[in-house]
Amino acid sequence: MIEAAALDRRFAALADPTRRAILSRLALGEATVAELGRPFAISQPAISKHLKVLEEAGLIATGQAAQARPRRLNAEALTETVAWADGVRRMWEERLDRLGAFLKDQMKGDDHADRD
Amino acid sequence: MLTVTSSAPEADSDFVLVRRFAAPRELVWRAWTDPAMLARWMGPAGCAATVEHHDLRTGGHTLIRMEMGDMTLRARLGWRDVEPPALLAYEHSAGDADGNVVRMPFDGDWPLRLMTVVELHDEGATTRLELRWWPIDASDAETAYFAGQHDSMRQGWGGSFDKLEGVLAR
Repeated sequence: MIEAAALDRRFAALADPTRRAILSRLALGEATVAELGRPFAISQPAISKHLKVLEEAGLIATGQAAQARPRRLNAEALTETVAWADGVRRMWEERLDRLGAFLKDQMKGDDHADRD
Repeated sequence: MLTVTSSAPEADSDFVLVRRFAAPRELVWRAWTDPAMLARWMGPAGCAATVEHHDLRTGGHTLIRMEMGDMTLRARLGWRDVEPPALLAYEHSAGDADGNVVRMPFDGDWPLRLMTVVELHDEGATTRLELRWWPIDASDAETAYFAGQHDSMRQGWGGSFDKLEGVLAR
């Protein structure tokens, strides 16, 4: 189970389109800061800042290769976060099932009830 | 403000549900906003729900007590936008007896407030409901929502997980 604060950090990290794009790139394999920055119209320090947020959220890790320091994706952290999101979705699906059943009951007691 | 040159709008997927109900929009609206009706479907199956507080306006909240065996839980709906009969936006969280936002007492990974947006579209005898939600954090996401970046946030979550999962599964 993910700790609450860690999950908060992960979602905050994922809430930014640039950071999601960086993760998508890292899902293909590790990459250096320069490589990660190439598709974006922002400075390298700005990219580094995004990488710091992702690293603090545990979503990526920094490799050891001295100069290049390539970043790589932490797939497990991402999978846990996705599992949480799936749980919320299931909860909503069940709740809307109940709403549907409730509305059906209400319509039965109504003059212009429609059958589906 | 950051500019991303390579990102295209993504289709909603993970944080959106669309349903059609065979009921007119007015009735669906009442099911969400009439406390007696809300109590009948909002809580988990098999639990007795009671609306303890209901103040349906921006800044107000609704508190639903749910009894499940020996356990009492409260859902708190903090209303952010109420536009009858078409739109509801609220923060969904756990609440205490006084209506304060609290963390779920037993579940470590259910601590977050969820921003929830419900749109009801009139389709004659039926109603199309579009539901969007995302976890919020008072520091930035909330602020962004009210700064009118609502659309970009909606779009922001969609599809990302699917894509990443697809890549990871390879």
